[in-house]
Amino acid sequence: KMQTDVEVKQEATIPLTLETEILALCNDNPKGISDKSLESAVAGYDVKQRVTAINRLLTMGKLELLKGSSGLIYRIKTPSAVGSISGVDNQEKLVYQIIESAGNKGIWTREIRYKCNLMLTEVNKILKNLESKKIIKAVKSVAAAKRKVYMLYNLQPDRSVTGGAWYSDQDFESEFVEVLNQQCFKFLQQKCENAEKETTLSPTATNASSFASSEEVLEFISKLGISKVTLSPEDIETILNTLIYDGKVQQTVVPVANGESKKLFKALKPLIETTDFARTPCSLCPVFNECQPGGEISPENCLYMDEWMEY
Amino acid sequence: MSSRECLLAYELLQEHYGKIAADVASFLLQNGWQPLRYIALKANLKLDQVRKALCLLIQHKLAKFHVRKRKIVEYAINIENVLSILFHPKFIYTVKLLYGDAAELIVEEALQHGIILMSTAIKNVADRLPDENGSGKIEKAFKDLVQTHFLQREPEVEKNEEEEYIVPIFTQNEADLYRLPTLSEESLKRKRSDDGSDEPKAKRLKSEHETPSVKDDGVYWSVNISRFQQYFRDQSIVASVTQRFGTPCGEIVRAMLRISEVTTPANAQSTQPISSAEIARSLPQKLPMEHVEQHLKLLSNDEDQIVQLFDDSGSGGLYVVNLKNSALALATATVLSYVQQRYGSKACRIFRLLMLKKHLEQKQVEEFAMIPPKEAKGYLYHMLAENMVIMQEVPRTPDHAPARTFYLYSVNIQRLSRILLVKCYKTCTNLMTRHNHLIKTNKRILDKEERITAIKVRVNATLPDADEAQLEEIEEMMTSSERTSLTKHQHCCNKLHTAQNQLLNTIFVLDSYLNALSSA
Ligand code: SF4
Repeated sequence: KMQTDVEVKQEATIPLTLETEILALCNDNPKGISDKSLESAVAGYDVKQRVTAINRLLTMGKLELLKGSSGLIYRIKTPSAVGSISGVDNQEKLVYQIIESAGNKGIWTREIRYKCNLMLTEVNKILKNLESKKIIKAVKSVAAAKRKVYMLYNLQPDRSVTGGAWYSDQDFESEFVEVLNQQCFKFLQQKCENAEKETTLSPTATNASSFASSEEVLEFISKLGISKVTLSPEDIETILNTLIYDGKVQQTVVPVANGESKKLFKALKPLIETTDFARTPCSLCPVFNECQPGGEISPENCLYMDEWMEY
Repeated sequence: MSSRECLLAYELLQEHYGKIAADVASFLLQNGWQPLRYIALKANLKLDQVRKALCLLIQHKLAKFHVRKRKIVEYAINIENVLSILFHPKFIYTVKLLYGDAAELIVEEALQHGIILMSTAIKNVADRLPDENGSGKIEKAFKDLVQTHFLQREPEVEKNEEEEYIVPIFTQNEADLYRLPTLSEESLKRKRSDDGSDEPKAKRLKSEHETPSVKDDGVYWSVNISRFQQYFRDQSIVASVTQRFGTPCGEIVRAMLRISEVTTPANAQSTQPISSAEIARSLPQKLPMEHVEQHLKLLSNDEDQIVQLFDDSGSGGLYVVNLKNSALALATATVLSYVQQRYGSKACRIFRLLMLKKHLEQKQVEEFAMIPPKEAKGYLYHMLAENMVIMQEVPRTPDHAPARTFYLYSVNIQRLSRILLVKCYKTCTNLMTRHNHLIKTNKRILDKEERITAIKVRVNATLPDADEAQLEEIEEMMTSSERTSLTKHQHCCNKLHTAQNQLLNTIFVLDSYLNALSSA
């Protein structure tokens, strides 16, 4: 046990990220990945670094080496095989199994404790231990502010934990959402304008070509390159929904093949651009209710009116 | 009725009918039906003053009366008509656009008199339009206005011999509302010498008996307020359809509204059903038939349902403009625009979200609207504090513990339309107050300007060849700083005036929605 601890401390950061990358690659290819494809996928590292990383992963029992049809392949090792990890005692095994069963949704310390019936200090010690060995990891959950959940190291946290594309490190990226909101609208608006420019089209055809699917919108957004994360059509639909609530976009559902249906979106113009009431200073006045003709605050001595009448 | 409406009514009455009429009206607005003596006593006015004020108000259809317990006559105010004084300039302007100068003056006369004889109106307008030879053109304008229902006939006094009633009884056949009397030259001539049309209705009973031979007598006309409202309503519907769907759709809806203009009662839910072929025929700019049909189909698929398919059994189908839906859609758009302007676009997103989903907890609002919790909370609380959204507590346990209570937010467009309408009325009062204040502050300069204008007119009349220098001398009676403040004064008045005029559109949209609700 001591030995691994020391080893971990000695690790430089490069091998560590490399290890994570390899693990992620293997995660994405659950059937296994050949040495060749691995090599080209992590081309940024030299052979020695790669070999060290793979070896370490193999000794830690995170990867296994198999013979495939076209040579050797590395594959992610099924977690239940942890028993074989050296230096893990029974209590650790129990905690491990509890965490394992929580899957990629993770589990809180409190619940682990409740399930394994150990002292808090003990549980904490085990968690720390497993964490330092990169067997498990702690992830901040957006669902419960500031609380950490534990899950196996190689798992991709569930959306309910990370909050999906709109969260980075548990913080909701509202600016990102607003930028996407504006860009999606711009795309749909452009689509409408283009359709209207085609004067040869019938009204029905103009209308039809003003609509776009979430995939089309997504394609536009991806090309813009404003998103660091990969967005799914569902992510885009969430954004398009905010535009529906903005009253700027309408949605229609059309049937596609074999009884399924598809949502389409189109920019929508408002019935009234700006209400005439909003053109008066009183409509936005903070002391509207206090204002009385002849009163302390009054239309006669009102500075908002002065200013508004200026130009 | 809110005190805001009363205040505005008071301002309007005072401006147009004087302080006593305004005082009487405001007393009646606060106290409902009251008899003459009681009004005089409580409002601290002379009996005769009150009587005169009531006559004036009744003649202008601003007050009404009834008999209680068969012997007490009581009076009350027609608040809708009082508030529609605001729209008088708009009435006049609309008619000018539609039917020209003669029609404009006829409506002006009718508004000035409240109710007016056709012969009186024609004579007065003829006096004011010396260039029009003869009254033929004016008479035609009058007839046009009646045929398009902008003027309507007042009920006539029922002749009863028994003298059993203490107030005149009026009767009217609905068929007569827009029936013109045949004017003889004689009645026009007679009117020219005798101009007694200012008598209030109650007194007219007698003269009726004296000159029963003249056909025009006793047939009074007034401006049909609801017809004007209908016209404005149609215009705002066309404007918003054009805004959303473009000009061809706007024209289609305009054609539909025009076709059913005179046949659809003011408070109807929808226009009469109209075939696409008929619509296509009445378009000013011809469109291919299949385009008209496609536009109609697209319009009827819109979620606001301003245009609806009535029956698709025939070829092309029958369509209606749903007036009730239109009123709701326009009022909603107005409320939303206000929310957007006052609270910002994210608050407006939350607001519309609540409209669509009915009841939501704060957490759901954050998730759907994708607005961070702190921000969303800020918007919700701001709107809650100003009564724009409603919060309901739904306790899950009988102890009402906050941790076990749902806090559900929602919005109510009807309630908000009401609130906003009252705000508009108050704003209107504010603009008017400011305007009067301006006139008071600049009175000296304004008076001076008036004097100078009068002098100029006199000089021009008496000395047709007054030289430049003389005229300039007159001009220079006004110092340059006075001139600047005069220009500034006029600019401010224009600004106030324009704003008040625009405000009428909003008032109109909200008011017609609330009326549509109450008439259903
Ligand atoms: S008059 Fe001035 S103080 Fe009064 S409500 Fe209007 S803007 Fe506000």
